[in-house]
Amino acid sequence: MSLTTPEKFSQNDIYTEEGLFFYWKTTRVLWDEIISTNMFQKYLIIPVNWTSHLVAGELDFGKKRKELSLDALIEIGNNHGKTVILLFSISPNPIQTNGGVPSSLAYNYSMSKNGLNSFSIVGDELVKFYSFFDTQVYRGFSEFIRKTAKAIKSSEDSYRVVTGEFGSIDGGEFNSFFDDYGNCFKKSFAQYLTSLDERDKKVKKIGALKSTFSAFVKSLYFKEVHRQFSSVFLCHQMIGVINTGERSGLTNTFSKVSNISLGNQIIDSYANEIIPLTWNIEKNGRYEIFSTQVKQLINSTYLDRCFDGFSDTEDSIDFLPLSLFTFVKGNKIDDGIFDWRKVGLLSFLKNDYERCFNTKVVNLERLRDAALTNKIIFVSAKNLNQRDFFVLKEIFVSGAQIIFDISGISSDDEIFLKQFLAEREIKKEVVNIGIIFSIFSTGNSAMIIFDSSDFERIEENKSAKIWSKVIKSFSMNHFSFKDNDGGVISCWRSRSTKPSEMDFSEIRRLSLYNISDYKKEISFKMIEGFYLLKSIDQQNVALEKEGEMIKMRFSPKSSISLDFGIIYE
Amino acid sequence: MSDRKLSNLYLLYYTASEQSGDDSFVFQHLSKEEGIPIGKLFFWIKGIWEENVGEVSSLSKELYYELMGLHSLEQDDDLAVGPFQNIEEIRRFAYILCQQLNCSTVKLFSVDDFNECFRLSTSKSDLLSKLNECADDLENLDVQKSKSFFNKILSRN
Repeated sequence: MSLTTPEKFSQNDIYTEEGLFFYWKTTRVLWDEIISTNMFQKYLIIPVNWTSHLVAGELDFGKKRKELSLDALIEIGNNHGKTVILLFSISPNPIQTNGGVPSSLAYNYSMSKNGLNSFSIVGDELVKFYSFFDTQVYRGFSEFIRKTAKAIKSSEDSYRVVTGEFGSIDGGEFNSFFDDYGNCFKKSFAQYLTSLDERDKKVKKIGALKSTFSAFVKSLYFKEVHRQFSSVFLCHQMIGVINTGERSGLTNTFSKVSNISLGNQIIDSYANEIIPLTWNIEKNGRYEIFSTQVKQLINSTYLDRCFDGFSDTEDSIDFLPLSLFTFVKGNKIDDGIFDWRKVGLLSFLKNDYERCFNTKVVNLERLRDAALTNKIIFVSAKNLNQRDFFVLKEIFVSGAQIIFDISGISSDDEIFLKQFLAEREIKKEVVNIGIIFSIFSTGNSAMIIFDSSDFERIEENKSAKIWSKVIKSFSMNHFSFKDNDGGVISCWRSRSTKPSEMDFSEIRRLSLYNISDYKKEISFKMIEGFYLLKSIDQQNVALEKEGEMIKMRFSPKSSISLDFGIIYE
Repeated sequence: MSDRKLSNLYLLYYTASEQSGDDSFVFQHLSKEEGIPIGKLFFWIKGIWEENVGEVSSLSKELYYELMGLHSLEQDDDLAVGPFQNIEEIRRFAYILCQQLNCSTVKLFSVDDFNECFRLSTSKSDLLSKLNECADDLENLDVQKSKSFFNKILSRN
């Protein structure tokens, strides 16, 4: 019997606007009431909290403490018509004590590259992160997952399971809290290095191997969850916890993270198809504009896309993040976007095509049925196996625009590539703009081939110019919006056309948020192929259109969205 | 008339070789692990924060250029400033920045200092008070001078 009156929950603290439900922060009697208040939220995402299920050293799922019954929670979610998702964190996270690691296993701190202990600041709480490279943590996690799977009695159609990787958003990119450079990581990585053969020791670089090793250990955690919940398993999803991580943590220790930074973190998450969690933003007057961002962007269509994947929502008639560029991997090795960063492509895209691409690397196979018009695909030969080369050929022939890095290509694959590009109908040109690019084209298809190792002899500041020339050689219709003072931040979204909009190839929405406390005036000129259809969600913004010029006067903390019909060249 | 309380500046630094170790080959890395150094260690500023204001990254990069005559080198962490040959260079840099921002004191601590305080702390406020205790403080003497000047004027009244 509880002797204390359960406290009423404060706004969004238990059931966040993004759909996450922190069941351990309240009592079971309030679950029903809290869930019913967020009636427009399609999802009930339950981050299963390992530490809270440990009662006197034993795992409990409702036998001893009723508020730990996941079955009861699934049932309540179903009664309210929610899609229930059990989210198992396979990384440290700031929403749980010790980053989700039980105190009995919390020995080895996780560390950043510069040797700083990893942490997050939540209010006045110092959430310390512990290494997931610790074998004891792995064994404990494995047992926890096994026992959770055994304890859940709900029917398989009543819930789904997702693995969650938590991280922060810094400089437009996701920084996983799984990443660790502390002693635990170093020890296991050293063992891995010594196990490599002598040839590999001479040709393989540490940076790439660290990513490979880290991805391997992460996959072990993933497999534990997947194995136990295979019939209800949905996907792996990244969660960007706004206002957390090392950079925000340090800033919050000495001062306060700026509103502009918080607003950017939300939009950067969205553009990268990461679920942003705004729960660590103080719920005061300044929260209103962030709440507007979340309500407009993180809707059920977006969450469907995050959970259901790439192809299912490709032709959505609801707006989804604009993705003009896609990084692709094959089935051979996965070193993320490491090489594309090294050749300066990523910093070029961030500057000239801000938030128009996703740094998640997509498997080549998934592009087979995807719409590839007005999109550029980046592929590295060393990530592809022989079968992937056949898929690449298929995608090329179907009208894709590909930039292909042949560094590290095997001789067999090179012969295959040469053969298929030697076909009569494929035109070939070679240009030298500091780097040699070979351009192959037929119909709407184009493939630009280069060797990334050539960039080693190019000065760093010259790579942006090279990439600008390469990207402009493709037919791509877009203009970037940038407020140089940084007060007004923008987000591009895109959707397919409806029957009444058949004059256009695509509809794009530009949402603008004045995060600052000042009035702002912004104007820009539309480019050819862009037609302003309407303005919506206009909150304290005056809009004027004179010819091709669009002028807007923003009040502090205001927002507007503009819909454009696009005609491809 | 009450004195406006001037804020503190916090500076966190670390040591690393100029060439990122991630660019080395496995055999070089293993040699390093065995104690054979592969590069000289330099000091880098991880971040500078003005109390109640926020991070002062762009200003610190400008100052680095003014003082060193070259741009701060790119590191994995975009906001890092460096390299510096020794701690004295960092202290000099920190003091000038403190003067430019008109802060009362600049508090320097290394990543090791931070980790030590971190391990002993249970909350943010606890961490901050421990960092304040262990930091290498440099007081802005210009502020002290101007304070005493104003004090003289006020005392005449």
